[in-house]
Amino acid sequence: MGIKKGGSQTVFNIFGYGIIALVAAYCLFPLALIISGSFTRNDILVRQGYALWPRAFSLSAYSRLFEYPEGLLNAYATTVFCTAAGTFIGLLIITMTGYEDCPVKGFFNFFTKYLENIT
Amino acid sequence: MNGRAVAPYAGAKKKDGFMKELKRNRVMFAMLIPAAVYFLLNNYLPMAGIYLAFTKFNFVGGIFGSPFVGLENFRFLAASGKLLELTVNTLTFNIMFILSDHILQITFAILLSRLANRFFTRVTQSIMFLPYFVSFVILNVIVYNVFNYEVGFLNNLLRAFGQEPFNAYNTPAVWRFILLALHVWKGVGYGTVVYLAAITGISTELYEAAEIDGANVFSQIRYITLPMLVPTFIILLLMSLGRIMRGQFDLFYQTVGNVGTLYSVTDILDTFVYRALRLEFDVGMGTSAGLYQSVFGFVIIMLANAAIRKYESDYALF
Repeated sequence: MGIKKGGSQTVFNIFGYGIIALVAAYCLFPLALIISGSFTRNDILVRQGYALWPRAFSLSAYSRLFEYPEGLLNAYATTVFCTAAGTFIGLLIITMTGYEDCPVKGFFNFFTKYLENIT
Repeated sequence: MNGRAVAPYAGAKKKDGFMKELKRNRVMFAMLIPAAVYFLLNNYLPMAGIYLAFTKFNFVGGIFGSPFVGLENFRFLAASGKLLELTVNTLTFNIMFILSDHILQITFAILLSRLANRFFTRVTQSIMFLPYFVSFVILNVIVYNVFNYEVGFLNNLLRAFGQEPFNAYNTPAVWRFILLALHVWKGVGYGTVVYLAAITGISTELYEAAEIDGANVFSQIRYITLPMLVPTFIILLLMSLGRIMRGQFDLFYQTVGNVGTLYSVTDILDTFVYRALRLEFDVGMGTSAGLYQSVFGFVIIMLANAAIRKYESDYALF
């Protein structure tokens, strides 16, 4: 076909870098909307909607958010606690059902396997 | 584990009763208790509520005072075509999601694994992974602000190019693709990492041998990478099949909300049950739809598992 040895790799590279770059842009696009929206003035948002770059820069949203920080901190504390405690307890319980090595037979074996499979 | 010979431990007799077995291994049994209790309370006890599917529940009568109507709820759901519509929606979306997910994730994983610039691949991988952590509630805000008729991003763009604005909330047909795009946005990074891990597990000797034989990149992918990914793909596919009757409730409920015009296309079993319980307070109808979903899902899992076991018993789930 006349393509030299490195040719197919170049084609692949163009293809590969292009697609992956597009996908990354696609993933970033909604986040960019939100971030730029958080930095625009509220009335502009209501009247003209979100844009990729803030139309009228303002930090009013953030100042209102941090005016009474207790609510936000409370929410974070709850989330962190639930995640940490939940993961820990969950791992504990699930690992405990994994012990099939002990020499047992019959019903107990079946019970262990059943529990392990449904967790 | 099944074929392993279990050596009888000292003192074991052939006819050891259950109580003796329990006593000898009380630590092991004790370790199982939390999990067993959790499942008993969370999964098995609420099964008693299935009774509600056969009643016309009203809040005055309560559980036992409401009139028992047998299969009336199911008959109503089936006759009004609601059940069929919900099943079709749920299955269509799930099959679409599964297919597009795996195809895209495998493609991206293969591409990422073969690109030379490590900085590029690492940065883009992290970017692709980001949407997985964005909550669906935020997604709702994003969707609303893109597709809003007056000030949405999409319509602003259309107007800037002199086109007619597009009312997405009045066009049910397009939501199949919108939801697919959203689902892909959220999940593609996560799955790509899984497949990438599988790809890095392939020994490089195979690639080197192929290169010596003169295979270029595309042939290598076709004859080495793809076949080695088949086991991973089958396992993931089976796990998705097990959940095929359950939609991604968050995605559908948050983005579609209560816009009634879109229900014929986007309502799935989960959202229907939720709305029946929260908004219409028709507990009997909601429970019967939920029961239908569970039974159907169970049948599908058992069939799929039996079929897989016949062809390749290693891959069967149980």
